[in-house]
Amino acid sequence: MQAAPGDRSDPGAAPPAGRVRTAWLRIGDPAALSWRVIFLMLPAVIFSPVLADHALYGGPWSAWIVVAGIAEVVLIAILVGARPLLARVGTGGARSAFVLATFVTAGVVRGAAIGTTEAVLGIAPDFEVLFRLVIGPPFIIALLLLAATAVVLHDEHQAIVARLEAERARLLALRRSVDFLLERARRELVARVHETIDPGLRELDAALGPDGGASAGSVVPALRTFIEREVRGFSHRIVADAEPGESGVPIDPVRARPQVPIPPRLPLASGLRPAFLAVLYLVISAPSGLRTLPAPEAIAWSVGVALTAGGLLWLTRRIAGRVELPTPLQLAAVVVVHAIIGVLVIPILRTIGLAVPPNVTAAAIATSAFVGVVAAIAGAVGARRTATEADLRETVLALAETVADLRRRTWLTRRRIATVLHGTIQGTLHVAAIRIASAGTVDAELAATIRREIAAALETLTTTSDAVPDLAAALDDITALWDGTCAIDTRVDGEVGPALAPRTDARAAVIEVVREAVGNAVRHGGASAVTIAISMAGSAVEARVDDDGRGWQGERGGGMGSRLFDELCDAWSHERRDGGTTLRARIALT
Amino acid sequence: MTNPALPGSTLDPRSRPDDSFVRRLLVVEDLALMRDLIATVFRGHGFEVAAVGSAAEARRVAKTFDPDAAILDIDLGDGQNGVDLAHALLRAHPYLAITFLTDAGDPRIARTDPLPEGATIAYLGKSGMTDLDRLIGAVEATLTDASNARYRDDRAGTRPFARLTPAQLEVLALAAGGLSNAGIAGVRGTNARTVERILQYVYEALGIPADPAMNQRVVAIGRFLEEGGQPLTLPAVTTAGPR
Repeated sequence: MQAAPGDRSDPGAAPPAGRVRTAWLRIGDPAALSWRVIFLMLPAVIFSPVLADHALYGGPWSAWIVVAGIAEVVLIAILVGARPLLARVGTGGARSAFVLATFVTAGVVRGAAIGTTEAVLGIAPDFEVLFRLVIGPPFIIALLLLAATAVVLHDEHQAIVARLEAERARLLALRRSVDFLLERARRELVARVHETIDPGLRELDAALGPDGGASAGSVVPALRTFIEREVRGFSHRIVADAEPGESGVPIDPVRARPQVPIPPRLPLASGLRPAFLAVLYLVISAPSGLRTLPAPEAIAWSVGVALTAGGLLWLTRRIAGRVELPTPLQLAAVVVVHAIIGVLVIPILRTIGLAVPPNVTAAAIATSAFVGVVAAIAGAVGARRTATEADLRETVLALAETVADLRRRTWLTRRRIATVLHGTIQGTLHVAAIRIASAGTVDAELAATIRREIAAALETLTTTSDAVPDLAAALDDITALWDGTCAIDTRVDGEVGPALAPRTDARAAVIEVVREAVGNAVRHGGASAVTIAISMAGSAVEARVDDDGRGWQGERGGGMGSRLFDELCDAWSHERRDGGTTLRARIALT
Repeated sequence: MTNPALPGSTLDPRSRPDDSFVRRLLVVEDLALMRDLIATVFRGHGFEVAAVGSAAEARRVAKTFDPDAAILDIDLGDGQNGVDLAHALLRAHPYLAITFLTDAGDPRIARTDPLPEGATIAYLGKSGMTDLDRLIGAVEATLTDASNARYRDDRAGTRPFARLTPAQLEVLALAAGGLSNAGIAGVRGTNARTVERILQYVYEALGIPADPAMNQRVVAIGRFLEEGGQPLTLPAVTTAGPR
């Protein structure tokens, strides 16, 4: 494909990147070391010593609160302390590695701090080196990674929402003002035309005399110079868009408050993700097992919890996953499902004969409920993100379509005015010059005729209607023009005519594009047979021109007419194929 | 003698054709005023005239009218052009004598095919025309064996860009399309330094001085566009979707 501004047809697409790599890079975001992550960690980091360890070892509550406090201070110090260093660590993967190293350090040092404090306060049997430095830290690290990912994902989502709102505001502003912008552009153009040619016309008017009387010798050379110096170049500049301040469409992006609601109803399935949650259950259940059971039994316990919970989740999802509930109810239902799983897991494991840590039932239910909360929130946030992305994509596509529409109509307006200036006004002046030259002197009648004709020509600047022939007539004209040079076969779907009938600009664009493509194929590609096929594709017209020529976008000379196609089409491509070339153009009926 | 349409015409009576047979003239001009003027004058000179406003209409009319000569405006509006029409007409009417009547000083810079060749072709700029005598002279010359050299404004040394070679014009057209020297070199299969050298020749030929206060490239492109030159643009490569 030689000329395919494909981006225009697919503007909302995200850049491709591996999911694992994306997840890894996310960890390196500065937000991974933010207070928000620390705040998210609070419950787990404080309550695990206060609740779980207190239940295991006993001792006064106050001592465990001190332990938790010191652990929390250590964690905060390490995360906050690492933050300024992150900026100095390269980019991308290097940052992710640094954040991971920080999390590992935080996990290990926090473990050492808890162990030391326990020993000093005398509330635990010993320093628990194995648990505090080896088994505990992965649990903390996993939670840190989870919290960091959640925070960065949230930021990403906010950025998407902000973009959505900005694009939506642009779209609304543009849609509201398309006609106004076009009318303004047209009026400015007409004003510029007058500004440029009016002084010359006034001079001509004065030279003609009140009742004629001018001689050809004085008027004609001046008139010729005027046409050459002012009118001609200006008419060309309008089409070439070389006038300053004419390019682009002024659209000020409007900032709006990012507001994308969580969908009002969610399927139960969004909070029941067996694989992901099984891993979470594995990580959460590991510490309790490893502290009280011999290693093989502890591993069997964790794996058992993960598989049982995962299995129950899978079953629930299969049975009731599609049930859609109002969002608050859905969130509650997800938490309840997880809590019930917490109730069921221990008896099931006991039934199949696996070792279960002592005093674990209450903790299991609480933990399951906690996982349920995480799962419910993650599901809702995920659903919101999916909805937002779809919305953004749709908005950006609509915006692209509206911009294309505006470009198309602006171009047609500019060309219409250029045609009037170049054809009608300039031609009228030529005719006037020829008449005056032939007459030798201007009598009252000729002066009046010239004045009347120039006035009529100027009138066409503002009155020239958007008279565009209907599609069938235009195609007949194209066929007639090349008759004998190139055989043209036209196939127009029945629904195209009625769809284009009320859309003057789109119809003009389709006609221009087809005419240009056929002209190029014959002129530059030496085609002897061309097939024009026009059909509807959704809410757009698709024109396809197949020729048997050698193509018209050689390595030299660039793309003939690509500027015209750019201005008029939402998307277009020109491809070489066996025995000819194919142009495809999409013009949306916005 | 006097021309009924143009009182006081200076036309030389000797150019008046023999009335014994009528010659048929096809006039293709999109502006009605000009079209009528030409038709009237030529009818006064004994031509049978068919005057139409579009290329497609010209093809239809030519089939039954069978013209001996044609006056074709090159810019017919709406993307049609007189040069295409000429090539198409010549296939059906090989002996058709054609006079192009145009605003474009140099067909090389408009986006057209080369003009048809031969003694039966004339090319007149509208801007140089003070009366229609010259147009009549050109049509007569293309219809007879008279030399048509006087009626080839497209070869006049005074036309804009007359001093530029086709290669120089192409480089200028590509520059007008927004390409950098490297971009132009890529299209033409040369290197950026060669392109810059060619552009220096272009500035020199157009008389654009090297003035630090002016950008020669911009001035040259401006002149090219003003003359109605069509930039040769490359297929657009859009990186961002909507602007």
